[in-house]
Amino acid sequence: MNKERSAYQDFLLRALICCCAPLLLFAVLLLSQGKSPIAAYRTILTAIFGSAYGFGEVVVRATYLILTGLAASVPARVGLANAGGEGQMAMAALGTAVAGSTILASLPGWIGIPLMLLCGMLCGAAYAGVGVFCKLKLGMNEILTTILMNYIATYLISSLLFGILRDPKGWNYPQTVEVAPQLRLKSFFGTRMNAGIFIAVGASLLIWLFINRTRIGFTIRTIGGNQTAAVYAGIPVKRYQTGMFLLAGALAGLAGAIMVIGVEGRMRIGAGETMGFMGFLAAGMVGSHPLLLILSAFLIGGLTVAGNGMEINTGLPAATMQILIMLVLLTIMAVGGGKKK
Amino acid sequence: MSELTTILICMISAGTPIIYALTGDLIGQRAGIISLSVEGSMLCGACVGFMLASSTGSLLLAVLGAAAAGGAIGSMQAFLSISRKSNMMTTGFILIFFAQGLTTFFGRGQLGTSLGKSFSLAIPGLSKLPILGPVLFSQDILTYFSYLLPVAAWWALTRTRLGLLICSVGERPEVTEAYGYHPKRLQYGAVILAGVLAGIGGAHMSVIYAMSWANNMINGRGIIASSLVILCSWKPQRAYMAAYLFGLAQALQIFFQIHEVPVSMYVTLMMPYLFTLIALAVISTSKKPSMPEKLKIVT
Amino acid sequence: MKKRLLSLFLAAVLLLALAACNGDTNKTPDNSSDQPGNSGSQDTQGSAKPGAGAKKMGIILGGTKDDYGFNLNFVQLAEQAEAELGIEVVLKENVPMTSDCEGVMEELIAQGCTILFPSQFGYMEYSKNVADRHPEVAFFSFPITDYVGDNFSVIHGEVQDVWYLNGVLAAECSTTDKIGFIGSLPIPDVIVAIDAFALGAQSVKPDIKVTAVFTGSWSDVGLQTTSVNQLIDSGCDIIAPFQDSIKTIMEICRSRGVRCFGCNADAYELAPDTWLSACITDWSGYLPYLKQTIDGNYETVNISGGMELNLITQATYGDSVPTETIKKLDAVREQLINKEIAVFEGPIYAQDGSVMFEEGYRPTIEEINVIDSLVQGVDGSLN
Repeated sequence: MNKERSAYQDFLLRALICCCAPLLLFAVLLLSQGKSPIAAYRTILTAIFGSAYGFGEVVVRATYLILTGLAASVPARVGLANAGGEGQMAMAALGTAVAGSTILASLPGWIGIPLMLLCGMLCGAAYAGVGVFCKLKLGMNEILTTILMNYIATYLISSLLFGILRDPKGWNYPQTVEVAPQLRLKSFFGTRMNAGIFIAVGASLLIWLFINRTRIGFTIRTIGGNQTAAVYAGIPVKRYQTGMFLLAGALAGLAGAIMVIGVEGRMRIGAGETMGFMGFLAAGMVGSHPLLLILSAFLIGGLTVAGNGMEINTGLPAATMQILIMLVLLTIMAVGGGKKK
Repeated sequence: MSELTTILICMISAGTPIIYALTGDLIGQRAGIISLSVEGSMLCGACVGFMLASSTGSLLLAVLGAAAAGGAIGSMQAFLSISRKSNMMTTGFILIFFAQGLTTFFGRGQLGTSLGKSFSLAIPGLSKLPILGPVLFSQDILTYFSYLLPVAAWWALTRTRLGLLICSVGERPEVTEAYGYHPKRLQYGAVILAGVLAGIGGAHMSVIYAMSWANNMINGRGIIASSLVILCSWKPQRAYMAAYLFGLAQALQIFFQIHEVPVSMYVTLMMPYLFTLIALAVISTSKKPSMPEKLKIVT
Repeated sequence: MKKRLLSLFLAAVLLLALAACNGDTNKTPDNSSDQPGNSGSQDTQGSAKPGAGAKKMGIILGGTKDDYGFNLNFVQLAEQAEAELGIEVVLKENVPMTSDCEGVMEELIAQGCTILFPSQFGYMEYSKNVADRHPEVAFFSFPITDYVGDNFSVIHGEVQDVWYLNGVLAAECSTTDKIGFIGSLPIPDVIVAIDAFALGAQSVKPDIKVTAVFTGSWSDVGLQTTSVNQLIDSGCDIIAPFQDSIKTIMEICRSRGVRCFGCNADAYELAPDTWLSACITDWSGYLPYLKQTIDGNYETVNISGGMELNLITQATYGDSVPTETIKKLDAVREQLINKEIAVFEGPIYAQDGSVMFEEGYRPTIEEINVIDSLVQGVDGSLN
């Protein structure tokens, strides 16, 4: 009884520290710059909850973060690490944008949109496929391979956007032709929010069910628990790893496809930048748990949007907001950790 | 100056910051902790190092300051991933973004300052040698140290008691503990050392190579350095190969464009990553890498 | 492990709870923050012009303010507007050139900005969306685009004339007759700058070589350093960058005693001896439009012009530029302003010898902006 209460108190204390410590630390920084922390913190709330638009921005970011976070956490369940969500998302976005302006452009929306999403997933999976091929056939370390492939994707996309895929009517700027209008997702309430968030949340629910409630999921958990034991138990570990890695690529690809048909409408240089890394971060914060990932994605998305509002309000450089966001995340990492079995 | 010399000089100077961060992180990884945060350490080192170099004019102070700043980020990584057992890759990414914010904010005053002098120091005699002279011996004191660093790390990790202990922590911490040592202290030491060395590498980047401070000037080199450890198969003596391969590719990025080698500009810009990928493929297919036991569980 | 998850969850819940509490108390600041007051009242009146009586202007930047380049340029606009028009200027840094900028603009409007100044081409499509939603906000686009209409105006400074002058200056100062150009990405502005620069240099010395390299990013310090060093080693004695942040390039040039240009900002004071000049925006041509808007007389404009409209100008000359060269440059400038000569007046040949513009033809700004090849005499490749 007594012990239980102390655990409860301990938990409350941790949560309190998570909320207050970064805000207090950041208040010192704000005061040293002659800004009022209270006004700044009020902007955090008004930026996120003050208008439907602000909240929509959070949702848009959370959509990508959930999916790229899933892309990082799914392979983690079979003992692989996928740091290439960034590249997979970008390649998929490019593929979707091209498909949406060429072969799929004349299709009606009800069949076209699912095909677009599928196209994005295939592109993402294909790009992840290169990584998993390197891992399982050539024995190359997948972390290094996927990180390098992020950079390669950047330049590959540049070369295509400046080259053959450039929109002839785009004043020579590097962007693809716009996706056909009937293939775009509708946005709600005059914000940029769109059906993508349902897809993302649905995906994380499905992944959770898949891992925890199915027979294959049980095998996957076995591999994740002890790979050597799984091999002795006669499980084709490599086949499962390949499958999960391709699934991860497909999920990151889904994020890219949603980005293109949801808000961007075309692919341009820098679209979706850092979303892959941030998703990796969101997944790491919750120990790759698919459902809690939704929370951490909303937290990171919300902080980014709040940071924008606060920067405009206080006139401080963008870097200060980056400091605040990372202070929050660092505190969560520091306080939430502790004795792990 | 011949083209070959130009490329080799660029290769050495672009590779030097990588060598520092790479060797540092390699020691940390041997102890079982990956510090992606070496990128952040490099940034802090570059910023603080430049600040001190421009205000005091002393390279020694700059290096000490950079080492301290890099070590500070390293100790945060150590605290979070050793004492708080948080996911080390995630922690690393957070620390990178944190360091970006900090240095951009506090480095604003340095953006317009200039060093006022160059810290290069040719070694008398040796620098007169053909090709090798200008390439290897007309550099600066930090570069000369970097020639010795991987060898020193190799000697320390394989020939000294402390080094062997660090490696044993990365393989079997419980055994280390059974022998009466503190695995955590050793890990802390190794990870902070990684930060310190990366900080010095950052100082080389800002004070000597680019001679200026710019926002986010490391631009992914730390992440690459941390992943190049895998290319080295966790062997410090291979740091030369990995770092200079990356440096060479960076030198060729521009060289191919100036001399109109008929390759797409995007391919030339991709080269550092392509080279690394190919090198990794070659090494991985020919030999089994000797990954520290602790790292196998983590990923 | 569990604890961390729980605490994360609780943190989120607490934040939500805080927000819920704040929802009521915030009603008052909501009203008071409405002080620019146009959004609410104007819809009913329907007569006030966009941006009338503006108290705040928002500038949307792609990089950070203090880069001694493109973005510093806009800080100067902010200073001038604040001093001369008495308007508060909000600079938003690091806005990605994707649809995310839409959210930033909405936030700027929510915080009371009624004049917006998007600075990059990547923002245009999305600025137009925002402009349609907020007819009370006046938009001034910096890059040229075809979305002009209603409350969306374009005021474009044409860079080719001043880069041509820079080219003339470079050719006058070069002794090795080799000039290095460090581009970022081959977007139209950069291509036009390289071509105009090369044409200017060729107008003085027809055989001069301009070597163009691309770093593939706007401010990678490592690649900038490598580029400068290798260009100097290959014999270039003048360096012209088209990058966001040029501090590093200037420092290396100074330490190696090579003269260099700036890009989009006057950085004379960084290295007076090795500084030559730069192509910078002349905000005095923009301010009248802003003033007109604030006074309530906004009109949609679609302007593109150069030195003759005071939209663009050449930065301070470096200490090493001789007086006779300055005199010569002044003469060329006169000719450009009076339209006696034009930068891209044909015949202009592309690298491969094909004709870009016929003999005697003067392309329009629309044609200039879509040039996608380098002119003859430039070493380098766009793909």
